Amino acid sequence: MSRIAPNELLATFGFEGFAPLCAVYVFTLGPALLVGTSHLPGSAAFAVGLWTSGAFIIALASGFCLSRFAWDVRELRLPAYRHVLFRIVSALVSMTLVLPVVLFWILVPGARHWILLILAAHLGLVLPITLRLIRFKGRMHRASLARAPRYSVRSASEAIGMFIGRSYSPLPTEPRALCFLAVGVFGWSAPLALLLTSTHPLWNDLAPLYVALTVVLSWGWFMTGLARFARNRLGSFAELALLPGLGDSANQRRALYRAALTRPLVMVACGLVVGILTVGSAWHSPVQLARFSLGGAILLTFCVSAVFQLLNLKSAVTIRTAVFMQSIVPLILAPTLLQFLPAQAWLSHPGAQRWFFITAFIMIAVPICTIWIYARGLARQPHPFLEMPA
Amino acid sequence: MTLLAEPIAQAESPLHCEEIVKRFNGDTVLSRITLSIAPGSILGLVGRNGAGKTTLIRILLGLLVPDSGVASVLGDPSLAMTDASKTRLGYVPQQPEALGWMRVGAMLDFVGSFYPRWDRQYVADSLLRWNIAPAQPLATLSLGERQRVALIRALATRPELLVMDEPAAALDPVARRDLLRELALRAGESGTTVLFSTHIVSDLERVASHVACLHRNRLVMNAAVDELKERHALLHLNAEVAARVPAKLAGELSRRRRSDGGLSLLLVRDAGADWPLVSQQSGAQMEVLDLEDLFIELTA
Repeated sequence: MSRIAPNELLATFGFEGFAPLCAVYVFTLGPALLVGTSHLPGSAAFAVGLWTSGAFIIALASGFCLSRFAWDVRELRLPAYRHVLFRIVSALVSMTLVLPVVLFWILVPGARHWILLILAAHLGLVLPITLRLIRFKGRMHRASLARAPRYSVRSASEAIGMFIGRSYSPLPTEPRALCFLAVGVFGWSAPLALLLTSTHPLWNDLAPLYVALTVVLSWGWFMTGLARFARNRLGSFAELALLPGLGDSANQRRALYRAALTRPLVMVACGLVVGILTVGSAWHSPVQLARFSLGGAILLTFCVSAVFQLLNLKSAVTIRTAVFMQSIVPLILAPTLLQFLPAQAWLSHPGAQRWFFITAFIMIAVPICTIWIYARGLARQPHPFLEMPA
Repeated sequence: MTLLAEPIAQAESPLHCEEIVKRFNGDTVLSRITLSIAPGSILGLVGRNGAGKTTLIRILLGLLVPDSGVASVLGDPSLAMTDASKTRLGYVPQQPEALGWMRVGAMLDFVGSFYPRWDRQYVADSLLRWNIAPAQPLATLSLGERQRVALIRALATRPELLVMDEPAAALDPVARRDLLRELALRAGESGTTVLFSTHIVSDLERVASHVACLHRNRLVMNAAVDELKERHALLHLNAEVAARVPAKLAGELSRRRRSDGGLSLLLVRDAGADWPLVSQQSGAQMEVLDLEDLFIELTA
């Protein structure tokens, strides 16, 4: 059989992204089972929520890749693609649907309602097709609008934010756009309020998951926007370099940092605060609070480091890998730290304490060094919007 | 011998570079390029694919650091341009990609707020003339339409210096003719200095006052269009005369042997000088070249 179709499929997924995608999926399945087995403390539920939300993202990403692949192979008329597509869909459905359901059925008989959640997560596989239809109709609708939204830009960092993309831009001042935004925010927040106030334990359990999902989705949105900006250096950077009103190069550099960092960090910080509030049990114990503070500090340092790296990377392949890894690593890192490293029993042992602090030190020191190296590299350039040849 | 104009003093030239060298991964892309543009002139930069036109433009504008050499824009060093210089400069990139998430009208409004001399009327007229709806998202425009929007954006700033990287590549013939007319008008009325790179040599003849040609990493030609035509010619020799011709004629730029044993020689002469004597012999024929033929002879 021709190897063109499998190769095309791998290329669609991205050779460098395929293995981590599989690894992360397997990693997310365990916590999904764990959350069903027992009544976990709040912080653990939040941590597991972060993990489980990874499963949603991966199902969604797989769905996008598969639909793009199916579209490409039809256009290119690749030989034997149907068999390949069938095999990969079977494998994916087995891995993401059949296996979790069977495992839940066997291992967690008391929490079968979680099966519904797992099933719902995989609706992500059909979402791309729906989105394609919505996007087509939406585009026609938008083109018929008489007025375009107006933006009021007050500073250099806001101007740079416009170039980075929609997720970094200031709020539009056009009333209709503001209304849409307000309705969107309300629509997204309302379920959280309902989950928090509900007396049913299942809905209470879902609250941390919802917060975590919001954080992960927003972080992914910001990072994807930043990665696109970094990839389009030839376009965006050239225009920014020649745009008057951004000040001297030191000013431009500061404005670029502010533009790229403020929103994602505020979002992560808000997520952490809401997470702490949502899992109120964390406040009862100083150890739990220390876990959250440390985990939060590490997460924020990693996020800053990720942004600095994206602004300095050169080739599109490196940027794609970086954005994937930097979206996933904090997802795995934070819960690991929160849940497993500083368990009370461990901390009572002096040896464990030492290793815990060394690990925590390394986890903060490495991203800080990365930030320092990249910031120094950017500071040495005549201005921050130079093209960097790959 | 190649035809290279005397460089203008840096202070007088809106766009100037000296001894620019650029290498990518060890390969030399630009080798000791010196170029100045006279104020109010329209310089067409030609060259084959990969000749280094875009790299040179990016170095001239301070978007890329050269390995050696200096460049200046409107009197400022390219890598440290002031806001005052930036407001006097218009740039059309090869592929306008920035702000693709915005609508045409919003993007032009947003960009216009940075330029004190932004011409709103010109924007409105041009959008109407080119049939581009202000409410249309930039991402849904074709490449040609996006290039038109980029042109409107650059011209609406009323620039003193306009730099365009292959601005006509994705335009249809009507839009291309419109663009050329606009350029000629701007240069004639407002004294705008224009640098544009292109593959379409016929465009140069319509609008450019000067032409520079990049070939094999070097600037092989830089002169006024009329001068280029007047000083270059192709000399065809039949086999009999070709057998007697020396290995290298005075002013010979290239030599091509034909299948009938004859020779075709590309010649250049000094201003006011005569062509070599061999051109007056029977069996010799001089051919006056247009810019396209000259470009092909120089770079093929």
